[in-house]
Parts: sequence; structure tokens; C-alpha cells
Amino acid sequence: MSGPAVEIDLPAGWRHRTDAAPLALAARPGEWRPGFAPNITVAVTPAVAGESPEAYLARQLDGAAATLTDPLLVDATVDRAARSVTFLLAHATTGLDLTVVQHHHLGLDGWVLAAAGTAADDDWPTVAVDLLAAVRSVRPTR
Amino acid sequence: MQTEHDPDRGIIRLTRTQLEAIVGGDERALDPDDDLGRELVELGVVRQGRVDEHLRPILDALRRPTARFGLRVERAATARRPVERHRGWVGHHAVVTVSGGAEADDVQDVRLSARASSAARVVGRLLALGPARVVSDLPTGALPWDAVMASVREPGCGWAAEALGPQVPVRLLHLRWTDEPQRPATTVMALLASDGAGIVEAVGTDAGFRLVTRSPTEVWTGLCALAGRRRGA
Repeated sequence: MSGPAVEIDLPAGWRHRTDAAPLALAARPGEWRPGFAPNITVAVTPAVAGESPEAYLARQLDGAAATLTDPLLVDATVDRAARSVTFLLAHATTGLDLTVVQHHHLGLDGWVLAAAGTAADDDWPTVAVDLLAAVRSVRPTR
Repeated sequence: MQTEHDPDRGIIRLTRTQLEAIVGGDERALDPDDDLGRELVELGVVRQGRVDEHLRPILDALRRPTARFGLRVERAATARRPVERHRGWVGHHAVVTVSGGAEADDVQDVRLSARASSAARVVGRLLALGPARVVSDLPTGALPWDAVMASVREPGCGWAAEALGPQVPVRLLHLRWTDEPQRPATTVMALLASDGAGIVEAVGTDAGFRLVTRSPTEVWTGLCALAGRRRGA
């Protein structure tokens, strides 16, 4: 199974560490203090044929509500023209208090490009601008 | 709301007098011959001469906080709950919120979040923070406070009619915070919000209050900064 190659504008000082699978990318700062380090993951998954961005977002949020611990949905938007959705959640899954911003691209010829940036709540103010910009920058390699 | 003590179901509802007595170590709370002591025994808050162990993390946070906050939510007088008062204590190991009126007999709803690092999410939930559009058509100059609040007190009036929509109910969210629990909390955010329709911050200036649109993400980032400040993040 293979999908489009992707690229992303990583924040300064961040390193592409690995592709966890043929279809996933993971990155984190080159240096970070002990504790939970902010990270970015990008996955490519098959799209559901004919699914609108609104329906896709609703499905993602239903999944988050069902699987995350104590989730708080902070924001969610749909860009119909770009066929993308962006949402930000705070949750306590895995025993940590985390903020995750997700930006998913649906308009990729049968694929969804899903970028997620995660940071501990305490670190979120420091990395928010970088993570928001990074996840929105993800795109297929031309 | 009635007093009730059922910590297994997360229900701890005490009058302000009862709560302050057990937090302050008032001997009457443990005296079965005192009216207050009898009330607490009947509720199950005091058992065999001691405060219920389930209350220990709550009492730790209330007695030894690292930060305190207060949230006043104000709506139109015709709303079901025109005014809500919430007080919060961030302890070393937990966040406790107490919600209820200011009178001695007003029942307080006590909630525990068992990690101090959850403070931002606790406050976000009290704010009912959630997706909202970016607001435009805000007044360009500074307004007196009465003009800011006109849209809260009467839906459809004032600046919100154009900025948020006609007849849209607006609530004031006045958040105060202190990292020095022995000092009074001071205003850190004064937000005017309408579910989904938008969030506006009233920013104080020498000339009055400027109304500035805020995204939910910006508000969340501000809450994380407040909570992280306490932890030296």
C-alpha cells in the first residue's frame, strides 16, 4: 500500500526522526528538556469516497470523544475550498495533560493527509505558533 | 441544589458554612453535640469523629494552594442562571473548584480534578470554551463598561447586535487569577462570549474598554500560560 509522498515545513531546530511506517512521518525538537517533548506526526490514510469535509470532521470528533480521556474540544474549522479540516483538543489520555492540533487534507485523490502537533499543556504557549504553522504546511511532494 | 456527600459518584455538595468549617479545622465540625457537627455526620462527611478520607485531596488543595482563581459568569437577568460564581484552588496534586452562591447557606458544588496540571482544562470547561467564529464589525474605539455590558444585560442591544448577531445571548466571563494565594486575585481575562457566535475580549485602556476578537485557540493558549506560570513552565 502506498500513497503520496509528503513534505512539511518543520520549525527551526526540529528534526525529522523517522517514518514510523511507509506512510507516516514523525518529528520533534532536536533538543528538549526532560519530560514530554512536543512532536509532530503525519499519516496518510485512504479517504472515504464522497465524504464531505463536514462529515469527515464530525467523524473525527466523534472518535476523539470516544477514545480520549476527559477531552475538551477547543476549536474546529472546515475549509471547503481547500477541502481541509483543523481542530484543536485538550485531553488527559496517557496520564498527561496534552494539547493536540490536527490539520487534515482531504483533497488528495483518494487519500487523507493528517498532520498532528502535540505538546504538554504547560508547553503549548511556547510551541503553539510553530505547531499550528507546521501542521497547516503539510502537503504532498510535487 | 441540596447538600449531598457521595464521593464515589463525584458528588460533594455542602453549604458554604459547612465547607469553610471543615477546611478551617473548626472544632464544631467534629462535635456531634453541635448542630454543625450533626449535619456533617448525617451527610457522611464526618465519620467516627474524622473527616471522610475522600475529602483529603480536596482539603489539601484548599489549605495549601499554589494558585487561586475566580470566575464570574454573568448573563441577562432573564436567563435561567443570571450569575454564576466559581472559585478554584490549584494545589500541588489537584485542582478543586467550588461553585455556588456567596451566602452562608448557599450550597456549594465541589469538584476535584486529580492532577494539578489539568488546571487549564478545568478553567476551559468552566468557560464553556469551544469552537466559535472570528468576530468582525466590532466598535473601533474604547467603550465605557456600561456600554460593554449593555449587550450582556439585554440580548440584541449594543455592539453585539452587529458583531455577533441580533438577539444573540452574550455572557460575561470575568476570570481572576493569582499565583500568590495569600494575595487577592486580579483580572486576567474579561471575555464576552456567545456559543459558536464568537468570543470578544474587553481590554482595559485609559479611555475605556477596547473590544478585540479572540479565537478559542488564543483563549486556550492564554489559559495554558496562566496555569503553566504557576508551575514555572
